[in-house]
Amino acid sequence: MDTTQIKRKATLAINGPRLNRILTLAQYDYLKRYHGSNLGVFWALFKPVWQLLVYYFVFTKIFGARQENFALMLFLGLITWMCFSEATSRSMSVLRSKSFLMKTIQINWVDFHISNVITAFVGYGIALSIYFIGSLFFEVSYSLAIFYTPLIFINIFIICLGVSLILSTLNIFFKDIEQIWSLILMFGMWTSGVFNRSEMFIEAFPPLQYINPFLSIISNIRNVLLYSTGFDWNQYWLSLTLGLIVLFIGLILFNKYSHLTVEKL
Amino acid sequence: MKQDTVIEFSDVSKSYKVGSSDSLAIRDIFTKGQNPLAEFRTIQALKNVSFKVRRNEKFGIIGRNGSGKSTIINLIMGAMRPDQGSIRTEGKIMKLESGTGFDNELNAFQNVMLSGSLLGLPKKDIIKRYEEIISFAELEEFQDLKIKNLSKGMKSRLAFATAMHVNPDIMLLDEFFGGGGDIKFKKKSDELFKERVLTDKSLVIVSHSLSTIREYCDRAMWLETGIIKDSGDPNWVCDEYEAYHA
Repeated sequence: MDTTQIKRKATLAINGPRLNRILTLAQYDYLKRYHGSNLGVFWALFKPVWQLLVYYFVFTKIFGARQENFALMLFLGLITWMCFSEATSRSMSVLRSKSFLMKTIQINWVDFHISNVITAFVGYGIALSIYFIGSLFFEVSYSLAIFYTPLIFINIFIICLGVSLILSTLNIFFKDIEQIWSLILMFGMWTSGVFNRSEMFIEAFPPLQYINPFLSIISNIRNVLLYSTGFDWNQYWLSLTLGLIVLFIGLILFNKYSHLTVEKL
Repeated sequence: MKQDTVIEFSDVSKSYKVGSSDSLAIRDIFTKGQNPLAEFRTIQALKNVSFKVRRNEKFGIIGRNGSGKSTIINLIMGAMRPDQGSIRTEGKIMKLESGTGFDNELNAFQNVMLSGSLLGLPKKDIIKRYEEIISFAELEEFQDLKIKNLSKGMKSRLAFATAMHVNPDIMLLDEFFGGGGDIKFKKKSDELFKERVLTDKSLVIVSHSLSTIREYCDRAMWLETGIIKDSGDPNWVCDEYEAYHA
């Protein structure tokens, strides 16, 4: 039987039972988010399909984008960004929405955030599967670089979790953090190279790559899933380092202040 | 912690910082110069509280509103952190509180699965126990509804039935007793409670009902403004409490 000294520490050491708890939380989060109605599964699948079709129609047929596979490039960048945007936007209400569990069952609260990020990744996975199907229609050829994709996912996960922990902690003290975050997200989306090649931003304003890790992430995921130009390790180490710094800060803040959540609910 | 102790509070103090509890807007820092960590007033909820709950012991906590009873429960659950002292627990703990503990957007089955999984039960075990739970709570007809559509009494019945079947090592009852049902349900829940909890569970009961404390507890503790006023035999402690507040 476990002996617990009550010092709610946000550790990331995950064993079997803890992983099981996290996956259960993610399962029911996903169920609530996408299966709210009988057509929930349909909408979860249809939305990204529709998104891809609209991009293709508008950018290729109407705007006549010259860039090859512009719709796929846009779609891949946007779904990657949306995964981050969704996970972090929801993170601010995660503890409040789980207060019924926080008060009734002993659980490491960081698990709520891990499961929230996993749920966003499930949505990302669905959108990526639509991307793969779409890429077959557009005759995209894949190279062995595709096997680097999990490394990019790990990077995204780390950033999502780190930012979630920071936002969740700030949300204890500041009631307008959601509005401020939505402004930062807007800046982030337009400077991540979602709508253009990331290299354009790096060339125009090099410091941006040290501020916005998604510039490197989106560039790399397109390299391995669209252009087959190989994996850019320099970009990867840069975005991973930024992610690890964010996660480190997030864990420190969450450990120090998350216990105030119940007092302020 | 000794082998037979499942909850141990050592010299625990806890205060609330009132004033900083209302979130500020970030713009206030710039426009009004407010510090989000500023403490305007401190309320001492517990002062140097030490006690132990032994394995299989039924431990009652009594006291007036604001005496620190629920703070103790929140500290045991790890939902709050003490300012001073240490708290140790051993085993899986579940708290029962009237009308809470469920996700309003999920149905009964999903909530039972969630609670059971978080307490570490394998899924197949929870599925096996679910039929008993739903039948005991007399909610077969309503099991497909989201919890938010159930009445408070139905939720209490489900919470009680779930706790009785998911088998935590320690149960905390915060002003919760017998579930919300008619006389027939109260009778059968009382029987199940005696069979499942009074035999081999550690139990902490927080209640204003002295008769509950006298009936079910082996030992009681009386809190008065965050300080232990008395502890020991439940009848003795309840008598003292009644005389003090007469």
